[in-house]
Amino acid sequence: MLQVENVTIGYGKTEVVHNISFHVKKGEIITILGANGAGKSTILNTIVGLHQAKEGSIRFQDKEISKARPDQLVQNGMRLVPEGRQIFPQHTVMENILLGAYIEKNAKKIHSRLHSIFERFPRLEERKNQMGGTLSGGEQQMLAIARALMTEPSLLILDEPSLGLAPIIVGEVFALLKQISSSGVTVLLVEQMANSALKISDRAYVLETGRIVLEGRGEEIRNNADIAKAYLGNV
Amino acid sequence: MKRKSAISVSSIILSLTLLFTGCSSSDDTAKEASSKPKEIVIGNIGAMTGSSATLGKAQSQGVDLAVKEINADGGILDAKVKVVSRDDGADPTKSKTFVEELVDKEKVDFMVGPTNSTPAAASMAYLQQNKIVSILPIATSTQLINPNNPYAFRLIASNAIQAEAIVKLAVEEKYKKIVLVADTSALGTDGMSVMKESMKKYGVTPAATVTYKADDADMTPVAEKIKDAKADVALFWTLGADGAKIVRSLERIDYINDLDIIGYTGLVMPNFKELAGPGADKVTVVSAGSWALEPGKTELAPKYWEIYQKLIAEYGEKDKRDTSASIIASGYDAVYLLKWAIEKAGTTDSEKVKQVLETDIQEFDSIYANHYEFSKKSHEGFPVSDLVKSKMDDMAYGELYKKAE
Amino acid sequence: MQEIVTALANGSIYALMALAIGIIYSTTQIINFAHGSVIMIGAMTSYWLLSIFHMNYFTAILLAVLINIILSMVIYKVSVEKLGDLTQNSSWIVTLFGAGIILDNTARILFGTEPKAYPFLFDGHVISIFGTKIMIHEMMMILVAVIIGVLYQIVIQKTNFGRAVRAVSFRPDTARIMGIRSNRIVLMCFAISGAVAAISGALIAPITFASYTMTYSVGIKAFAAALIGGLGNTKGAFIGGISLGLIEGIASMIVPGGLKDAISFLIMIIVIIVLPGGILSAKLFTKGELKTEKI
Repeated sequence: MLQVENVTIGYGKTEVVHNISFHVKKGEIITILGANGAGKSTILNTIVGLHQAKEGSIRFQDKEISKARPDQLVQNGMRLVPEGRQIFPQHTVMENILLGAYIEKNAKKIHSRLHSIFERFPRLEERKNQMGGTLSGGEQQMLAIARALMTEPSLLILDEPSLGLAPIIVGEVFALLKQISSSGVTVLLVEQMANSALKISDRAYVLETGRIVLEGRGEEIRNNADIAKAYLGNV
Repeated sequence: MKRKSAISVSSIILSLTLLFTGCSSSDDTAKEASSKPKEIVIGNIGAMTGSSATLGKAQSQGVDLAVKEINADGGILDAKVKVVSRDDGADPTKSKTFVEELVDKEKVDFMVGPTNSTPAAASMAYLQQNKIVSILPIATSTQLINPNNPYAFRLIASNAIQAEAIVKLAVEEKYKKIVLVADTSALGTDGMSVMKESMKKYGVTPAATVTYKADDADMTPVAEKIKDAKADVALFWTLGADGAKIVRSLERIDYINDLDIIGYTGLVMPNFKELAGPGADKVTVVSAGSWALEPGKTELAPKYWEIYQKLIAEYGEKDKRDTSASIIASGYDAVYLLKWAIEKAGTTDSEKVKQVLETDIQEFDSIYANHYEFSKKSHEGFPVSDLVKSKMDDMAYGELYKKAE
Repeated sequence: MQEIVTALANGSIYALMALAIGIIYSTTQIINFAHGSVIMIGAMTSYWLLSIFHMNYFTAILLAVLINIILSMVIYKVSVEKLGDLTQNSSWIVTLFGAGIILDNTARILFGTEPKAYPFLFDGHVISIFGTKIMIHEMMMILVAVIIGVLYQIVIQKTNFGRAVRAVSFRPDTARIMGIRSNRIVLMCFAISGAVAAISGALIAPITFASYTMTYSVGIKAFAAALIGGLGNTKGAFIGGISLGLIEGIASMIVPGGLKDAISFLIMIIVIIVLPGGILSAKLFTKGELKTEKI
């Protein structure tokens, strides 16, 4: 579904990501692990079109997308849930969700998706007229995911969904991702919280200072304590 | 390094200065020697492009016509007259550069212009240093004529003269409550202070003085203040568009009928009536008396009428040119004044020409003002008495004022 | 009384002009320095259509609005979009100033230097209310400003486009991953800003006369009003505009006319120092609302 080949990314003259390759197959949950500053967010922002790669190719559903605009990618079924959730704090919950469906012009579709979103997230329906900024961290993460689901993406990309959340909420989030995945959505995840992420992952890549240093099945990497210590610090 | 270059720059400047001083002093001796000149060069600087273009063009038309006539008639002291013209676009920096060029390279003996006051002020020092007798046919700023500019002579009515004339008219016509109105620009402040001085001279206290910011959107407060002072005449030292706005505000608050307005020449603009509305009928301005038609007449006095016909023959009727006849006449008079003074002095020597202008001016037969009033004390030529009250928006032939009754 | 009505009418137009500046500022964080010129072009083109082609008021202003929309979009395309990330690049100061100068000079050549008498709505008809003469035109100035202001708030609060504008102004990159083309939204904001500028220029031109110098005589008030109300705060723009109108009106009653602008700008500076976010950022107005964590 997604092939990243020999991609190099930089800001100005500084290269942040060096010649990395990885791929995501349809239906998988893939995790990219890495410490702070390893270049994880840079990779994701490049995939979704916010940033342009210097070299290499990115293919999505067999189409070259390294020059595509974010809106085109959203149209083609790719969605990013950004780091820190980035809820619009002065938009109501409802407005946040509707913004997620910005490219969808069909009112009927919006209506039915809204319906299923509220079924899945009853808390959000309770709070739909509240400002986004008044929600708790966990609720904001739900909102950010709900917002992304409004276009029924085929590939959902999440940038550190566990960041800043209480452990019990993190568990909820990952359970939700598992559930979303089982409904047919491919999931690409970037995380520092290796343990919970690896539990639900089919495969994982380990990223260190802009290079992929390890690749394997989720279980394998999780069970290999040495690797975990060497590359991921405390797990 | 920096210090070194600063020193070398200053030494270059110093040597250049010495060079120029050297030049000008040798010029002086040259001028003294040439009592029988081969060619007389007159510089002509004015704004011929930009928003004051009509002034520079009018001055040039006057100068060119006079020089053409004089050369056809044998020149001045048997020497041909050459005009060197420059367009300063009303920009003082350009004007100063052109004056330096004309003096240093073109070796002009006399100067007409610059047309606009700020460029004239910027250029004046260099002309004085080089003792170039300069005739100002158009610039009106009061400060241009002062003891520091001993070689400058002005033909047009300066701001001070206009202010005095406006005040004089108001006093002579026995208005009871006079209100002075001016904007806060340099021009307006100058006008306001000279109007106040003239009021003092005639022993009258203004009922109110009203100032406003030039080009301001809303003139209602100005109108209200005129009304509050119960004025029967307002003396307008305002530019056209602002004056029109005030007139309209006065009409709006129902005061225009209780008021007469006398303005200085800056108030004049082609579409004043259109901007001001019906209240424009209450507005008069001062203008050069010799170039204004007597009530009921269709021609100027014969001397001026003849010149007017000549200007039309040369440059066409008003609708064929954007310049105004009386301003062309002022430029034309500037050259004839120089001719007369040089011939009377028998030389182009600045000191002698200056002296003639100061002492014998009553002998000169002028065609712009009805006479000029130069003296050792004052180089303001235009007589207060030759400024008359004219109708604002009713001109003959598109350019000649009609005197108000 | 007369002065207050006039001040309110002028203040409404200042408010419209400030709104137009705010619309652009809110989504881009840049101040459109060409805005004064755009207002002037709106006034001059509608005058031109009224007087040369003898169009009726409505058609002339409509066409001027269209011309201004195109003009503003061109300004965006040429002097803003090409610069890329505006937070990294402050060249917009130069390019927008430059665009303004080009417009001013073009207007001077096309329309001449002489101020033109711009007709009042309803032929300047005056009605008397409690002895105060009020021009219908002045009432229209206030009315149109209020209508546009309310309309803008409805669009911005209730429509898909409005949500997107607010999203872009708050988090442009997040807006982009929602599938919103931020550049499109900004382009639309320039267009709306141009349209509002045309209307404000056309409404104030009968009072100031139409002339290429409106850029400075009128345009400068737009920036003052925008700053008093809080840059980018489109509700504040109205407070800013009306306050500026009233400050001017009251100041010119009690001080010599020439000092009026000095006083208005002094107040502007005080507001900026005391309340950097504009009048609406005062505690009095924010109540319990959450603090905006602007990024």
